[in-house]
Amino acid sequence: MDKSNPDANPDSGTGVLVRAYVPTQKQMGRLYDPYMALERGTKFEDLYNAGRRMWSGPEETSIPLDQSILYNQLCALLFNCVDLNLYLDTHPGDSQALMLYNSLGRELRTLKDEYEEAYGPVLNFGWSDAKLPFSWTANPWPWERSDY
Amino acid sequence: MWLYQKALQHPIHIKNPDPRMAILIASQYGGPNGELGASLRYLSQRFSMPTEMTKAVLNDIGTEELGHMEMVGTMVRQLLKGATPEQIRAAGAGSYYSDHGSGVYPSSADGEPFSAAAIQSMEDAVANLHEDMAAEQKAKATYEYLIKMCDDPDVIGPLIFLREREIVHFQRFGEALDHLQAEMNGKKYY
Repeated sequence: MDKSNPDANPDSGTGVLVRAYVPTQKQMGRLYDPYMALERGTKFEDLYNAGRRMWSGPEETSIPLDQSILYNQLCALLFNCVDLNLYLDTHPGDSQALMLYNSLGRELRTLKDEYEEAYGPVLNFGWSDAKLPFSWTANPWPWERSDY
Repeated sequence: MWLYQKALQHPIHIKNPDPRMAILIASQYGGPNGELGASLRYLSQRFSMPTEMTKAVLNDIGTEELGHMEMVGTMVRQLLKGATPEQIRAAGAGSYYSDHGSGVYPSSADGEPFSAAAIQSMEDAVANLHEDMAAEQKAKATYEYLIKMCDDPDVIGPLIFLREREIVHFQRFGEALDHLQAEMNGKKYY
């Protein structure tokens, strides 16, 4: 392996007998904004388009997410960080992806403070401050909320 | 150890109950191609994964699947809640109601309880990753069948999101497989 570039793969399996092969995503390519990413299920336009080509079903949700709602903002940033995390798992040397991951993470942690001020803790087990009466247990829980 | 985040991965707010759709979607909770099986499969397989990349991919996708299980459970509950027992029976969901009321139970659309027999976990990392790529394809196909049977945009939106996640996971498993086989081709054998 080329140690200077952890993503380089000189023994990539294209054309090798008895070996399944999915080409590695070469680069992040065009990226959706955080809300479009959440609606479409990926940050990466190339992966969305690849998925579209395999199917003629409906496009993303016909009800766009209301971006003025704090909960939707939180979900969007949480999701974008997940998708970038998975990308970085298989592209550990991509500096552009790492910068974006860290910058979205900082946005997420700022928004988390604002959200918790309004709705109570997002995390428990010591990772968020709580208030009395123990605000972690307070409604709404995510499966029953309709206030967003 | 896991940390719970008090938010769904994708917001869900279903306004109109649909008990029949609830039973069909519940298959992605505890059915043969469902999210419970997916998370158990990846989180079990990761213990014998040999490389940094494969351990991380299995751990992180397995964790995300727990969030998908929560999304599907949320859909099942919201589709059942608010329907009367008469409506549930008329919708053909009476047998589910007899056993579970309007609660959430891991079973297939046919009522078969969750079974780990639908998943596999071996020490062999290459075999595991092929299983994982097949699992993502099967889950993607199931979400497509569900979307075709559904006419409520409140339900279709999250289903389209979940379908796309299967595609992204397939890609990441494929990348991890290629990377692993390249390393095996180099020097080390796992």
